[in-house]
Amino acid sequence: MSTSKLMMRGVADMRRYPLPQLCTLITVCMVALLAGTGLLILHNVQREVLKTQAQARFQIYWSASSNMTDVETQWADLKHVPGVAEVSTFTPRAAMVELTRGLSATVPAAKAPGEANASAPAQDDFSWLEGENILPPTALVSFDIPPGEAPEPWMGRMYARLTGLPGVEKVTYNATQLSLATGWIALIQSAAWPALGFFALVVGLVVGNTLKLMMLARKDEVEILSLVGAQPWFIRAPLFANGVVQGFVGSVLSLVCLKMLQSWLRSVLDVPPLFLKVEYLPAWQSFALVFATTCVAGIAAFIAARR
Amino acid sequence: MVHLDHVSCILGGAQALNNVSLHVERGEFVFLTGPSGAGKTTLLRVLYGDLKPKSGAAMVAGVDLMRLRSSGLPALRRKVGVVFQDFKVLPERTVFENIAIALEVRGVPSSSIDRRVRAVIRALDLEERSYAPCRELSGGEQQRVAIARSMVVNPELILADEPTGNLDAELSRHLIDLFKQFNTYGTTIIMATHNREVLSWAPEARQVHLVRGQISLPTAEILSGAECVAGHLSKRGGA
Repeated sequence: MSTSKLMMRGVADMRRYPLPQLCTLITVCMVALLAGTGLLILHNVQREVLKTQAQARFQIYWSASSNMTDVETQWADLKHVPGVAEVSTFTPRAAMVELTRGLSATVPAAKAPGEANASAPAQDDFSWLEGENILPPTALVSFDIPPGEAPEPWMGRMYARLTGLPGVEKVTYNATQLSLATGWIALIQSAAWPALGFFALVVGLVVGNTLKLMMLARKDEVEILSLVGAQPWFIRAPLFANGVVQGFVGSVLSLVCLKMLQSWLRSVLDVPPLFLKVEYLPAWQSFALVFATTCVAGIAAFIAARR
Repeated sequence: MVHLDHVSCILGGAQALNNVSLHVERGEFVFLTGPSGAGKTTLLRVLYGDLKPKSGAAMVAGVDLMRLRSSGLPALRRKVGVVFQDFKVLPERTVFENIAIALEVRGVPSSSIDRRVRAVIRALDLEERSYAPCRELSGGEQQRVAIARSMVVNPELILADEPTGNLDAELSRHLIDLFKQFNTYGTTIIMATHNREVLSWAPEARQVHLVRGQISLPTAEILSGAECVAGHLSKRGGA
């Protein structure tokens, strides 16, 4: 009998032991789900950190007396600098609007007419600032640091370039924030492999031991096959196939459960004030989870049959 | 077929076989007798390679048991059929499947498997239950399935460990007749039993008596035909 036929028989024979098979499948699914949840957390934390903090941000202040035409030309040029992710500009007028809006939100509301000091201007009335060009033109420029570049030297060079622009009075940037983000990313990346290794170990041990327990249900079969002179591969091939199917089906089911979990988390977390968008695992991680679980289950079944 | 010289075996820290010497020629029918715990099952386990002797020399069907490695076990098991008191059939599989499994592991083509299994099923009067799961069979029928599984591969030697232990007298008698029939075809049979009635159904068989792991002469209490047996032993050179 060929190995492929033997393996097909192993799969067909799974129906002979429905309860042990079901229990094993649930265990494999749950353990893979646990590993998948870990991956989901890692993936989303890294994505959030990258999205919000891993950019170099420069706040550029021009002199308040700068010619706006020249400044706007520089803004247009800035948008074409390599690595620019976003440019937000503020004219003095736009800056004033932002300032008054901000102050209105923080300064207590003006008292009603008839009350004491009713003749004084309302505290949220900033009309008296009209025409007073007290705020400079500014720009907030976000850069994606080019791959392979160390953040700090790169930011130093960019800082020097931006401060050298005509009319620029001051440039500030998020060095500490970036360092923090870079540190987080490094931590996540260095933690990712040990975490994945840990998950693989847990999956391996739990799936392996569960499959070994399941093999107890087929102990008689193994014993009888051995008694009638079956070669080891004749005994192991169907059990290996059984393990592979358990691993594959269990891990695919775990991905379905993980999708449901991600949908639920998204509905819970993507609301004010959190606005956390929990994304599903990238395709390669999903495939890796299925592949790893299937391999581990197959190997565990093979070893269990050997013993 | 079987040559044991001064074989000793330790099981669970106790001396299960002590200096056992046994020689069985091809085509012989041998009963292993003795009280429970005498070492009958241990001796059979040694003969089908399930236990390795601690000392002595042991050859079964041309296989040196003292040098037998796990990779060589299938080769021994293909020459030696084993029948147990508890049948050891797969309850969820049909009679046909249970018997065919012994041929499948040998890589016999499916057309040949079909023919040979049907022949054995017919010989053992199991035709009507061919496709019934073994769990639906009576004890006697299950034992016949186990014997059929051993016989279908034409083994050189059949080892039977108390095969009648779970059967009534009538079925036991029928079973012994079956073994005798296969023995007449040339198959060597070694059967462990402590049932005196069973011994009387095959008086031509040689009897080897085990007590506390050692071979001894059968006593008159155990065997009614002790003299006959003693004569038989002397004729064959003794155990």
